[in-house]
Amino acid sequence: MIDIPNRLQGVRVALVALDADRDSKNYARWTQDPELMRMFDTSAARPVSVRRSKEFYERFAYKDDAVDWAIKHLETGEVIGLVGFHSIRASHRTGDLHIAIADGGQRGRGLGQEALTLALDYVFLELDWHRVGLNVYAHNDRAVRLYHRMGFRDEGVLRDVLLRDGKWHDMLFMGLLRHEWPPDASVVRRIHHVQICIGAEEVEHARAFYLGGLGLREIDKPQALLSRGGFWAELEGQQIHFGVEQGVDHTLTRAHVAWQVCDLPAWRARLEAAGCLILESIPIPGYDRFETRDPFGNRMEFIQATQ
Amino acid sequence: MPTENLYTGKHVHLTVPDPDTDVETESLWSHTADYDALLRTEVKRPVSVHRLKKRYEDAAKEPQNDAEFDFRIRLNEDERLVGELKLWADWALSDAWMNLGIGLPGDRRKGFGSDALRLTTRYVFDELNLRRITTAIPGYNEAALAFLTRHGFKVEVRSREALFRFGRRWDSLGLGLLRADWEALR
Repeated sequence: MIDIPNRLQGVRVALVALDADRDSKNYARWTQDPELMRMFDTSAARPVSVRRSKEFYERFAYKDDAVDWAIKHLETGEVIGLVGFHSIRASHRTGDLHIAIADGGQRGRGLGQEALTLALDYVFLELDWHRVGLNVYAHNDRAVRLYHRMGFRDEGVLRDVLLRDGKWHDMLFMGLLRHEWPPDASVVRRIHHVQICIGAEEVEHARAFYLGGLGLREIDKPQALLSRGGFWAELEGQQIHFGVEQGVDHTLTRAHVAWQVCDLPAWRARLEAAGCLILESIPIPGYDRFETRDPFGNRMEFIQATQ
Repeated sequence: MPTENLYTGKHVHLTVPDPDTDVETESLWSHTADYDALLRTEVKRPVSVHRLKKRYEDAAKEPQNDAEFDFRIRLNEDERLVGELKLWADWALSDAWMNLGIGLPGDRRKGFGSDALRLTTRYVFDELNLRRITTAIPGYNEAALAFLTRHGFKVEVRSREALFRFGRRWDSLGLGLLRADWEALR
């Protein structure tokens, strides 16, 4: 006899059936939290009455192409959010995830991660799904970090799709395949940052070269690291750290970062004008490229995909 | 001032569905091998004339949904039904989700789709005043990808291995056309 796992029961949370009576009261209360509702979906945030919430729950608890659970906090017995899948395509063995830890006081405690683990175990290990997709607003940092941690990979972005408080926000699309779950802890996940080293007296020059010249965007460096000097920058969701190092001749190493560009001749001209010496690289299929050194001696490659 | 009819192009025009006459043709589309496979991700199944009639009758009982636009594409010369266009407006995102299809293989590659898409973009950007159009196609539908990119759509999302058909996995592509790109093409 095999040991039958209860996939919907975790250590701190359990996924339980929706109950229109119980959940409609919670939902009506949650809709009073505009920050929650603004992250949850694309429609305008609005408070919803208990009666309307109940109609809503009765409708969506029994749809063929969706499954939803209430997230029950085992310690208090309270329902703190919901998790489920919509746009289920049974014939393709796929579905799209949604999750909310609606109870503000319970956020940031790992309960969402536990609920998400239960839900993903259920669809991958019980239902034998092939893929789970999702979309999330790029400014929903906590959710983006959670999805990356769970192994979701970026698959696309709709730029400037949501206008809120006078600012445009992006929507990110991600996907997780069966063989990517659970995330393999023995393999590193993605490049978080690389470090480029410069001398202590070169920091302002490096700012001008890399922020002004290459177009990187400076991001805040944590308070605890400020005294070390240097600065941090960001490009397309990845970070480049500029660190201070003394007495090292960077021209001795071939170590480098390759910057992908879309107008290689213009970059060549611009760098030449800035006094960089351009060297031809050995041609490789699919790309045009050249190499040079930054003003601090670090090797740099510029690369462009050919048509 | 606009001088052209919003619904009439060079070859085709957009009309409301006509349940009495359209059901035969729509049932025929659902029986051809490729129509659903090229456009839809749902399980394809043939639909009877009777069932389509019932669907139209049920829909007529529902209140009009202001976010939903259901057009049929007909030939200017003889009113023959050749395709369908469905739009769902998301007012908060200022986006129109689009499903556009020419039903029978014999009616494709004749400019009907391009004509209908020009009417669609004008309707979405000039009448509904939305900012973008979104659509999705299966990764194996290369003709649709070429057609949409020719009209300014860009691939924005590649959902890896989202579909299983013809014995293997395929990506699903999400494409978008922004108002600015459309204006630049005009």
